[in-house]
Amino acid sequence: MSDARPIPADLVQPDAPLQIEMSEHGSTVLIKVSGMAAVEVVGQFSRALQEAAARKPRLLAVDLSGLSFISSTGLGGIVAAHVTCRKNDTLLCLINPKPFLREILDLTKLSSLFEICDTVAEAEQLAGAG
Amino acid sequence: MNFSSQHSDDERSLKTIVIPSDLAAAKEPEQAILREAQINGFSEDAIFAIKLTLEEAITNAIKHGNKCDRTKKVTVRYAVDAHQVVICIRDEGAGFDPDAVPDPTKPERISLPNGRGILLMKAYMSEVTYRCNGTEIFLRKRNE
Repeated sequence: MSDARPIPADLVQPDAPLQIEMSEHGSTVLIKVSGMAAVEVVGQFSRALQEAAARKPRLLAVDLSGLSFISSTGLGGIVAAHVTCRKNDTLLCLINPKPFLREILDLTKLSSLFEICDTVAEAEQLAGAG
Repeated sequence: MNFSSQHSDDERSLKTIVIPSDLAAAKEPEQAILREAQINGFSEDAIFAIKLTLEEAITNAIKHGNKCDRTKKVTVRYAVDAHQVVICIRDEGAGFDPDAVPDPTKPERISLPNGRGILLMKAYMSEVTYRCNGTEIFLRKRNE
């Protein structure tokens, strides 16, 4: 695969705990995710996304800059949240995914489904939110 | 050398870990294989690929193969050397036809859940072969 993709050095160690922070400001809900969305904890991630989508914000920004691992189960959680958001006229935007995740999004062609921005401010501009 | 005899040669000295159909139990073979890959000089890219593939394959075995039935086991056999990692994962389910799994990247299927795991395994591993009516997956990652 790509030579330019930096990989977290802790993959051989026990998984870094998944941490999820949710905040709301204006018409934006921001979810910040860090650690590893390994399969045994990925349900937390999917539930948080659905909870955020249920608030029907104008923008659901998912900050993935701290996420160091995800499998197809986690991708499925993002897709499910995207479907809910689309029904509610919410824009779901992925913020600053690491190169490994951008590669996975490209391989699965999910990069054509999601909006991907470098910053929350850029996403807010896209959604007309604030 | 044909596929069958090559696989037989590769599988002569495989270590075996048997786990229950419990996602948390998947960590034991994952950590064992990743540690050996690291010791044998596999790159971080390769270790990422093996970790992702193990998550996908063992999750499929537990969820889709064994239907999360805790009385059923998942058998992980593996061998690691400086040249390659070989892994066989077998479930106790009814099997499936891997060729019948639809392409998850098609526009009409992009929002549906099935097929991304298989796609990712094929993208990141050197070889992915289903055997035994789909109850066993053979995986190979070459150290390139």
